[in-house]
Amino acid sequence: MQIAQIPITALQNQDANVLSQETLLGTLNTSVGTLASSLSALGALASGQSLSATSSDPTAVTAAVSGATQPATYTINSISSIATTASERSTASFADASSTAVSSTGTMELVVGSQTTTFTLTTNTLVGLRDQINSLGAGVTASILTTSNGNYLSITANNTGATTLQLRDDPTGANTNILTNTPSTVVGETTTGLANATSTPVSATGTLNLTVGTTTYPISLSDNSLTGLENQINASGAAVTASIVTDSGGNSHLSLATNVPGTTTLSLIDDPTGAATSLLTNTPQQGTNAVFQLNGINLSQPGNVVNSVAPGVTFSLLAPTTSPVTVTLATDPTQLSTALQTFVTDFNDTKSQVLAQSGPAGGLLSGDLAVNQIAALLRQITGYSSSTGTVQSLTDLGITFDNSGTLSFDQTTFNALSQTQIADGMKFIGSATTGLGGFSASLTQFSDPVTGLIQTEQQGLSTTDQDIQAHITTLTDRLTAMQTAMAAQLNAADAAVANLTNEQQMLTASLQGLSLVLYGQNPVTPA
Amino acid sequence: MTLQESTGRLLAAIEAEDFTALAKALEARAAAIAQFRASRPSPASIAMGQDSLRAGQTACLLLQALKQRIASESRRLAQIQEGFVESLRHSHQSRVDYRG
Repeated sequence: MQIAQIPITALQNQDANVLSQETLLGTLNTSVGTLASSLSALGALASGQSLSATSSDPTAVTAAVSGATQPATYTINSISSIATTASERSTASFADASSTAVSSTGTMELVVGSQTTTFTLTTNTLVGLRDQINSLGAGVTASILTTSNGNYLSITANNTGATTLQLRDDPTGANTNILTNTPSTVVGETTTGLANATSTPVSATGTLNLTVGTTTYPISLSDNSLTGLENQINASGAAVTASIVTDSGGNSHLSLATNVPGTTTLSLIDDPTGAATSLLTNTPQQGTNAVFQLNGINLSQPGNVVNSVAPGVTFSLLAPTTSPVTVTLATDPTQLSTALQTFVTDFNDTKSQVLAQSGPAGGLLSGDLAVNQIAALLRQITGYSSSTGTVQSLTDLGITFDNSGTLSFDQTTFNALSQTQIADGMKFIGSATTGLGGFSASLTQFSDPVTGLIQTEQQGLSTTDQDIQAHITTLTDRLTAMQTAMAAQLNAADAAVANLTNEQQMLTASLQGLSLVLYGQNPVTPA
Repeated sequence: MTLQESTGRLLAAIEAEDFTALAKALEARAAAIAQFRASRPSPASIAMGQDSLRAGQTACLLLQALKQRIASESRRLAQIQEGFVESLRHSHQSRVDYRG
């Protein structure tokens, strides 16, 4: 049995080698993928001029580069308000959150913006109301505030921005709003939706009056469309911001929001000397939009992250300010040196793995096709050069390599580079697809999780592993069957030998007895 | 079945390595020995019994040899399997050194 198991052990050893090769390739794949990513990031940084955004007042505005490729300067002229979430509490308190009834009928209506949800309480208590609101998915979170005066319901919108927040008890009867109503801005929206914001006429006569509080702004449209009206209102000097919103039916509406929180009135009258049609519906709003002016343009939006106004740069509005804040996008060599250091680290990781599989003491992947090709590619990367500019090789950027091909980054050499050299260095690096960064694509041909050469080799090894496992199983089954048969034969032979020996003794005894009877002597020699 | 016949079948079964037939032949021989023991002795029957006793001794030797052959084949099978797998294990790729 022991001898017969030896081939299985040998096959298992072979399988262990295959599995080890798979593991080594997996580790190499990760390393090559990381190197490809760092080269791609380095290239993207260089093609984007290694831009970094700085704010003159980081307490009011911060900014980040998100794709910009040219130096630029932006001015946030003012921030009237930053976006806040709507949050209200119940006007009345409840003595016991788990037993005091909160609704007179058990039927309630939650209003969040334009969405109204009617529901019937399964448990008519504050706890039941809180849990039911939280299960509605209405974009708000309800909680219970416990004070010395009792328990209050608190409702907070999940996202920032001006919105309507109401909770009505007995909506078909008394219809009582049980929340405090503290409007922080006033928003008006045109009642009638227009099919086309740029061509459908918005006014019957082209003359309108916008009234904010007690101040009226006459508007004579030069472009009788929703877009024209939006532009003229934003240029009117009124403390409101106009924007165009699209309803679920695809029609456009004009939305007006006051720039400063507080109670006021808002009206937009078409043909004020004639039909005097009111175009707006007014809704008290809780929460606030971010209202600000960027490069002289009035803007209002629900959130404080501004990423759709200036291409490739994202502003974060942090606090209101009346002083202009300057955001500057300029080349930042520090980012470049950090990316170069990351590249060097990732390169050396891949390099060390390739070296471990090379030479007389190489590992299980010695001679492997992918390893050899990656080694050649690493040599191309270290040998990459340009024939123009003041930076023509990695050495010019402060990257040196030893006899084994391992790289080192010299920060001092990099810090001594002039602005011209930094600019030439970025040209040398190229982009994510060209120059030094272009090697990223070559590396990805090895590390791609679907089509990469390493993945292909891993699949081949996986197949070999499966074949060996099947072979081992077949061999084991055959050996087991043969061993069982041989064991049975040996047992049968043992039994036969015992029976035969017994029979020989019986026959010997019989012959002795018969001979004694016939001849009076015993001529038989015992078996 | 006579003692001679059963002994003959015993030898034939060992030669054929048929352990089922061997078991049946041993049963028949045991019955024949019992009959022989109860029979009236004669010089011829004594001679026949002595022949069967010698044939039984030969059968014992043949049976021992058969056991050894089975054990030997088991070991040979193991060696064949081991050699086959070893030939797989040594089939590796050529090596190419890398210098950076």
